[in-house]
Amino acid sequence: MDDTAIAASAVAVRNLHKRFGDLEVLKGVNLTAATGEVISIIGASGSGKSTLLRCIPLLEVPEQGEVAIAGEVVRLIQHRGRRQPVDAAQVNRLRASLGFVFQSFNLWQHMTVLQNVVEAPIHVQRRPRAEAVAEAEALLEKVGLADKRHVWPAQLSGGQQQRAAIARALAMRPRALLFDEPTSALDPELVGEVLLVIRGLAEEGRTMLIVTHEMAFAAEVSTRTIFLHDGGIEEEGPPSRIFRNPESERCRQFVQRHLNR
Amino acid sequence: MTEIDFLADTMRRLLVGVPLTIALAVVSVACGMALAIALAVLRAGSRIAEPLVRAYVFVLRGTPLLLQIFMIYYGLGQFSWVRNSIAWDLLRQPWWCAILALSLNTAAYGSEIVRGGLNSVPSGAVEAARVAGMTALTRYRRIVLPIAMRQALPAYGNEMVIMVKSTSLASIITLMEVTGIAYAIISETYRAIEVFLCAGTIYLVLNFLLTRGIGALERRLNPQLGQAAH
Amino acid sequence: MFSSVALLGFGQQGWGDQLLLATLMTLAVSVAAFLAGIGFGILGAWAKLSRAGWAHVAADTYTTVMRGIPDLLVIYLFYFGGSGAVSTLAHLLGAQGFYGINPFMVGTLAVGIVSGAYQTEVLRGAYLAIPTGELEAARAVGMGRMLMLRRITGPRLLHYALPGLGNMWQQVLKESALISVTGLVELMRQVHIGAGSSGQPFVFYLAGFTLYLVLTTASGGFLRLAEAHSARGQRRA
Repeated sequence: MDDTAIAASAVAVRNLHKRFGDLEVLKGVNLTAATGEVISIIGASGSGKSTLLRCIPLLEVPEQGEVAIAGEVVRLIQHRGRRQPVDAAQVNRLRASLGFVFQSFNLWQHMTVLQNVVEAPIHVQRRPRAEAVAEAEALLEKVGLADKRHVWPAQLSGGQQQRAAIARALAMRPRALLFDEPTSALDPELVGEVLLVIRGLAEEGRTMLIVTHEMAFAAEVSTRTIFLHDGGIEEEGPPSRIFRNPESERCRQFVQRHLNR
Repeated sequence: MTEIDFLADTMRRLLVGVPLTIALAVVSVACGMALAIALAVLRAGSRIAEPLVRAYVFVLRGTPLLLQIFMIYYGLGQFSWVRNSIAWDLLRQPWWCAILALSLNTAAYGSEIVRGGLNSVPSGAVEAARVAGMTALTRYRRIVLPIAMRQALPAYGNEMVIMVKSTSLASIITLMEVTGIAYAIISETYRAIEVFLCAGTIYLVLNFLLTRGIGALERRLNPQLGQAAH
Repeated sequence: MFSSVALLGFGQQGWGDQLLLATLMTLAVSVAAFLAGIGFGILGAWAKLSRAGWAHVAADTYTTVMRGIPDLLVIYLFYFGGSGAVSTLAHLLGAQGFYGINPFMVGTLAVGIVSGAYQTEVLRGAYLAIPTGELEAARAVGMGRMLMLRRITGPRLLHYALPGLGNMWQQVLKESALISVTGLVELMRQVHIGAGSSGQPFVFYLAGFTLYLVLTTASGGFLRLAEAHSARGQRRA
């Protein structure tokens, strides 16, 4: 991967290493997402897929390697035995150009749904309130929560909370959307409504990275699939090949086990 | 006199007050706990007593302990019928006034703690005792109170520590316990920091021993917890 | 009974004005001590949550000591210790005699430092109660430290700390009676003075009970309103 590829990408990581204590979770991962790509990241639990995703907005700081967002490399430095960003303002600016959707929604409980959605546009991106509210209402309409905009998060079902969280991520007008197992914390009967919203976003041509255990869904919406094993990319390619005819034996076993379920 | 000599001398003088501090704490915690249990049981069991106990707790927890001490020590003497009663023999002595005020005060806080313990007793345990044919009294004595007190013990331990600290207020009605002696030494010498260090150490040691004791009691009353930890 | 009404009433014969003024003084010194306590509590909680080992040790020592020794002793330390320091300074400058320092300041500091030890635990517990995901979500949208403190951490911390802080306030209100030993004419002191000079101590102490109950009940009601306001939307409907 060369520098021109990074410059043209929406999101890119190069030679990413991350460890927690003695456990090396990422062992040199390279990944470039071009604008408009929908990349699904699959793999067993503990394979490092969530950590990989969390390194992109620097929720985890990698010990080695680089992260670039919209072609801009995040500047990191070794300081007092820990690697950390040189410039917190740069990190915050780049974070604000992404949309991150958590497994456990993480809506701010002291704000209504609408307040959650307009919070960052108004206070981080400093957009005019009226504009932010109008856009937020349109987004809530889109995820099917127009009638819930003045409701507190605690009064919503898990599926509704996750759709509100997706609206919150969309309100950033993000260069790329990152989904960290968006349906894993949901009751089975609520998974469908969230997948439906994500599928709609994929069809709009948005750049997305999705860590998921929903294989059928991943096969259907993504333009590229990455199979992660033991902190490294074991196999990647179009979902048609990964899910039907993978080269790696491990990938084949994993896909089979999960598709049949 | 060197600094060390002064500290040693101060410590010697303060230690004289320790028995009084301990006596005040032990007697008022014991009397207060008996009253606290009685109040909590009354509040849970009697519809007539419930508002009275609630009013008692409200007044005692809503006002400063110092005011309660003054009310008993100075206030009650306003009435000739109090002064002519048998109780006056006790009520004019600062020791008994301090014990009375401290006991009544800790009983109010303690009854709320015991009430919490009573509420935590699983209804199944009570039902099982009823099925076994226990009378209401036996049920309380053998089943309900033992469970409730185990539950209440950690919070009651904190209340006891607060009581050890509260005994210092007895010095204001002339009792020469540790804080009273400390005050006397400070007003003689104006060496507040040294005296504070000595007196503070005494209280810290007392409370350290007390918390250790409560911890040991907790482990003894709940042997199952000790095993679960291994 | 009629005479006690006149005694506690307003006007030339009555103690009403003084008692009212003293009640306001109790309120003022309690508010000041409570705010000082929040200040110490924030410092203590920050130290206990920080990664630095020395800060932990300092904060642990602070809370253990202040929660283990009588408040009265702390008040004496500040009153006599502070006055001693001021007197020494005055003697160095050539003045003579004993100089007392402002009892209001002493009371505020002493009660505030003790209360701060308890508030340290309240604030630390409240911070740890904030779901980490909500803080992570704030970081993920690009909030800086100060913005996050103002918009997310602060309000969430207040929500979880409010019940505990309410108890602390009630405690400070009652502890403030101890400041009377420094000669500050707050409610406890005023009631004691009235009791001594009128020959009707019971009436005055009863008035004291009533006024303290008014203070604790009124602020208790106010705190419940604040808690209800902060709790809106936090529970499932």
